[in-house]
Amino acid sequence: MTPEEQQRYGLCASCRHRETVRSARGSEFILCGRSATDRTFPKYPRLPVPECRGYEPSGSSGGQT
Amino acid sequence: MQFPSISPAPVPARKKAFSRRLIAAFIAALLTLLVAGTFAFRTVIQLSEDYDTVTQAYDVIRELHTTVADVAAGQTELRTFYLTQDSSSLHIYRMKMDSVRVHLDNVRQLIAANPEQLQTFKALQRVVEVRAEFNEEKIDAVVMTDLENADRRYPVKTSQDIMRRIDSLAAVMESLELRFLSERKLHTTNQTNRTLLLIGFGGFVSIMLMAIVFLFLMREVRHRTKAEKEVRDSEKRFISFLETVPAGIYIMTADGTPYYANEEAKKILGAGILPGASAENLPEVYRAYVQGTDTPYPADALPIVRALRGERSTVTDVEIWKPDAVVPLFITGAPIYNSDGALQYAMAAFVDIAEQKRAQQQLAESEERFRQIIENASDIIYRTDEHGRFTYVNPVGLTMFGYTMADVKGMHFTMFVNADDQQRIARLYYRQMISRTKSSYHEFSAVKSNGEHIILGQSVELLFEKNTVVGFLAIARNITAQKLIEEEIQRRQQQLDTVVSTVDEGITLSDQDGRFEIFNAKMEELTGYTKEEANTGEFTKLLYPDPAEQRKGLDRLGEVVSKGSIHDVETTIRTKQGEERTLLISTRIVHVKETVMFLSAYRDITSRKRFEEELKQAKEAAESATLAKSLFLATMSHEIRTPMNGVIGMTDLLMQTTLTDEQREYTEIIRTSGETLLTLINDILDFSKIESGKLDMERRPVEVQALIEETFDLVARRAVEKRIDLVYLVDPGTPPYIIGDPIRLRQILLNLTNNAVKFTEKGEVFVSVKELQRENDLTTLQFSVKDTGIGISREQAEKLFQPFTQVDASTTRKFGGTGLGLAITRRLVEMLGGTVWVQSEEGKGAEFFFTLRVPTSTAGDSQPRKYMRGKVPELAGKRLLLVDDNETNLNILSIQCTNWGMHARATSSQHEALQWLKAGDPFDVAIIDFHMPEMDGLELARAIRTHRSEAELPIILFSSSGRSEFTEEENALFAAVVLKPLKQMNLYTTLVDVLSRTGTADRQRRESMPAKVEPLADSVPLRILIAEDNLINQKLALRLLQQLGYTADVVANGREVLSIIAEKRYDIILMDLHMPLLDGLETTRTILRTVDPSLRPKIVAMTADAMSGDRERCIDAGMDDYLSKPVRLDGLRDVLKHYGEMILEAKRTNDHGSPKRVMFLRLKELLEQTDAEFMTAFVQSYPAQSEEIMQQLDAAWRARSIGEIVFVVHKLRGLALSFGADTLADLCRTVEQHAEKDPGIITDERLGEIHRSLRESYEMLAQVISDLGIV
Repeated sequence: MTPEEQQRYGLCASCRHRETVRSARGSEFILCGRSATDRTFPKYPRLPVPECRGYEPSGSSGGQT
Repeated sequence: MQFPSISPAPVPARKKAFSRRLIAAFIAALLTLLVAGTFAFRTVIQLSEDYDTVTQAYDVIRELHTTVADVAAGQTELRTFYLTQDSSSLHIYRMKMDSVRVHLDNVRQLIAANPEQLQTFKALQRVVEVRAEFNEEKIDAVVMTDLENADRRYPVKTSQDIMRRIDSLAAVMESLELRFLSERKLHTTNQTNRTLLLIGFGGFVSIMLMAIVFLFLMREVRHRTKAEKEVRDSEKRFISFLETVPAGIYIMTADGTPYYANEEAKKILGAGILPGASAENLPEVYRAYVQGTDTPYPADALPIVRALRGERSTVTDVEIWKPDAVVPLFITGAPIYNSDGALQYAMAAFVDIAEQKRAQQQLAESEERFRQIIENASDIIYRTDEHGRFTYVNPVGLTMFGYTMADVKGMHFTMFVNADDQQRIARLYYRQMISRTKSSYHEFSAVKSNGEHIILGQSVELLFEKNTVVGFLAIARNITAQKLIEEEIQRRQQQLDTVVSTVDEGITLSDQDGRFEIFNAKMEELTGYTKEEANTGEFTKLLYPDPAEQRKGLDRLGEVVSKGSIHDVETTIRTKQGEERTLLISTRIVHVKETVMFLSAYRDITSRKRFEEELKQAKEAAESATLAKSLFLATMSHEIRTPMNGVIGMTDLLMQTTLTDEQREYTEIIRTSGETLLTLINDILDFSKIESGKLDMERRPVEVQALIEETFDLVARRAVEKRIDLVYLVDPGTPPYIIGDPIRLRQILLNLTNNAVKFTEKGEVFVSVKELQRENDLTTLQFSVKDTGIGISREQAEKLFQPFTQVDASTTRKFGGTGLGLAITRRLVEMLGGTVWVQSEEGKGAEFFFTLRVPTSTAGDSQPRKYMRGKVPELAGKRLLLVDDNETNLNILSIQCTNWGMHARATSSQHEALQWLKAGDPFDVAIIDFHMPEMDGLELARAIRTHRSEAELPIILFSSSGRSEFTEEENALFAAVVLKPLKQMNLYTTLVDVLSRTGTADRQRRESMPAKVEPLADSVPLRILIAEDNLINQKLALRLLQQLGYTADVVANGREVLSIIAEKRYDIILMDLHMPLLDGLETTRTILRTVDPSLRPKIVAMTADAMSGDRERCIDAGMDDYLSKPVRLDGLRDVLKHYGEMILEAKRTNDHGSPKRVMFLRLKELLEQTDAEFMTAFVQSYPAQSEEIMQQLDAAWRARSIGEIVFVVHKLRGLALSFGADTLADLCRTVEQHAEKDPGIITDERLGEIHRSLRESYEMLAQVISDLGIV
């Protein structure tokens, strides 16, 4: 994760629930994995995300932060 | 005592009705308002509910609108996302959808109670969810694929349908809500109208009720205002009442706050209500202390504080400490309640009881004193009941009678009375009680318990109670001793009466009204009146029929009153029998029983007076005889002197003729006898004048030294004959001039000196004078005349100054004399304010002293003699050799020469003097005495000449005789001969002369003896007229003049003088005073008036009158000089020479009589007698002296003091004559002669003349001193 990503996505940059979706028109979306199970999480969160109750750094074995 | 209430008077019934009405009105109003309120409240609640419902409906509608709008907005954003794939739009869409859900939830809550709406809402909620799901799926499709694909799968139309469905459902819900709102509005409107109606009704009812209450209140207020006014008036009246209360009033409210204090309270307390005062601190604030201590009074115990507790109390032990006094108070306190019985005020009333305390104290002290008096009285004091039984007897009574109170209490008072007197006394007091006589006094005999009898004097006062006699108070005194004294007085009175009646002097004792208490038998005998006759009040008139004598009697009484007594006042009374008696009265004031009385003693001196009168007559006869004798003597003396003048004068003339030795001897005897006789006559004359009181003393300046020298001149011849030295010494402190009678002073000194020479055979006569005392201008001089003669014994000395007394008869025989000399001397000295006495030892000489108390004079101050001024330049430093065997002489010479500044070396030994010379001791001049033992002056001079030549040491011989005794050779030894007696002036001039000539070969021989007189007529030709009535004296005068080479015309009286001088001119008239027809004095006055001064002859008096003042009378009359008979040749020669030269000089200058010439001659003469230096000082002193005198004259004239003017003019005349200013002197004389008899002669014009004349004299003096070459 580059500093530019960190600056652009916020927590999502290092969250293990982040999924990056790129549209046909080349647009890139960060898809929050948690929205699939918890509708309180936006599917496409507004970037950068400064705080998130479902944040889990990538590489961790699970559990909520 | 109930204090009046100061609150308004309550009205209970009215007050209760008022309260009930007021409460009812309030309840009615309250109920009305409550009903209206309840309705209104319910309406408000309903309206509130309606409001909530409406608000909720509007909320539902607003939420629905918002939901639809948010859905639409979300769709718009979503569409944007679809087209842009911008996640921000997606995000906004999601936010809108979240909002939609929130609003839907709000709607659900709002409509939860509305089932109808709830159903529709659910449908709406489902459609919205469908919309959301649809959108999510299309979002995924768009993200995953593309828009087209997505549109296809999720067509826009579906989306639009869903949207429309949402709008539709929302519209349904909105309409439902709107309908509901409409319903609610109608309901609310109805409800509101009802409520308003109810509130309006309720308000109206309430207002009505309030109006009623207001009316009630207004009426009540009026009532209360009126009541309060009444209360205030009541209060004012009450306070006015309190202000008049003569006590301090202090009121506190129930809470202990000071409320009121009246003026009296302020006065007593020193302040009114003080700030901060309260029930707790009243004692501190008003400085209230427990009486007699410095303990503050406890506040709780103060009556006013106790009154606050509802107590009534009184205290008298309080005192207020004011700055100027401590005030004890009587305080009473009481509570004051209001009508409800509640404590409203506490009041204290208090008064200053200082006076009361003092009165109580005084009463107590008075009672104590009274008790003390009674207890300690020296008198017996007792009290009885109405039966006369003792109820009290003071300790003195008990002690005196030897009883105790227990012994006498209840006993009858007569137990003290002697049995003999008991009945009498008992009767007396019972009678007093019955007659109710308030007081009585009786004396009776009493008996003590020991049986001793005493006499009591008893005063009894009845005691009353309610007009009933309850007993008596008796004061009894032991008068036993007094009775004894009275008996003694009576006895002595009898003795006195016996004495007064038998004494040999009249004794009276009278009061101020002239009533006699004592008029003894002798007085009755002296006056012939009895006491009863004397007490008629006319006694003075009886004794002194003459009113003037009566007045004298009263004056004597006045003198007694003022002085207390008179002694031995002589008076003459007329007795009842008509005889005159002379009595000596002594009277003094005596006080008899405090009455002023006169105690007089009368001594009959009628016989004595008669005897005294006889004696007096005898004495007067004797004195008259003495006076006649003196007058006779004076007259006879004068008569005798006239022929004596002829005897002596003719004898003088006879001796000028050629006589045989025998004739000369006889003639000498005649002359000596004549002179002796003349002396005797003079003495008798003097004594007669003194005795007859006709000797007046002159007052003129006298030079003390000249007085002695002139006296020596008169006795010098006899002293020389007896070889006696005449020596004098004037003490340096002696005033040079005194005021006195020069003739009498010389007479005194001459008498003593003459006696001294007379009774001294060898040795010296030493005269000295010194000043004993000086007080201002008064000096006391002591003269001493000491001789070395025979002396006198003490017994003889005592008789010495008695007239007609000499030491013994043999003395008279040997020495001659009348024995009057010393008696005259003593009288003269006493007349001059001095005394004379003698100290002597027989055989050792005598020393006579006399003192004079006389004024000093400054007469000589202006012309001091040079030889009297101490050191003189001509003699100062000169070495003098003095040789004289007489120690006194030696001393005096030495003192005098040393005083002049010389170095005198004196010795009484000729050999010692020669040794000094031999030894070469330097001397400038030598004075040697002639008469010396062993080696006389001649021998000594010769011996001196062996050592010193005449030029080296001039010798002055001190001799009793002149050079005529010596040969020419002998004379050549001496530079000068000074005659004894030594005169300072002679010695001075001789010394100056000799020393000034020292060294000149041709030394002029000089001696101090006057040159032999040649006949005057040749050098001083004069035309002389003799006016003399006595033939012998005419011849004598002619002969004397002839001796002097003159001839003269003779006339026998004044008229002839006036007649002859009218025809013939004379230079000098020798004028007798006593002449028939016109005497000398009057003749002189006529000449002065009628003859031109320039032609007037000089007039010289010739008289045998030796009476005092003769000379003055002559000079005053205008005469120029005076010659005393017997006229002596020398005296006549001097006078003629003096005036002759004056006239001659005037004639010579053809200017005789001119004032300037007179002055020239006068000063020239003076210059010849003195020296230029003296004259310079003399003339220079003239202006100053005369101006001073003129100032005195002007002052005297201003003061119009005639006596002073005469005195000053006399001085000026003297001064003018000294300078020859005769015109001025004449003016002065005119004033002097006439001023006292005719003061009108002194005028401003005459004083102006004197001033002018004085100024002219200044001008003349300037010319004259220039002519004389003085300055």
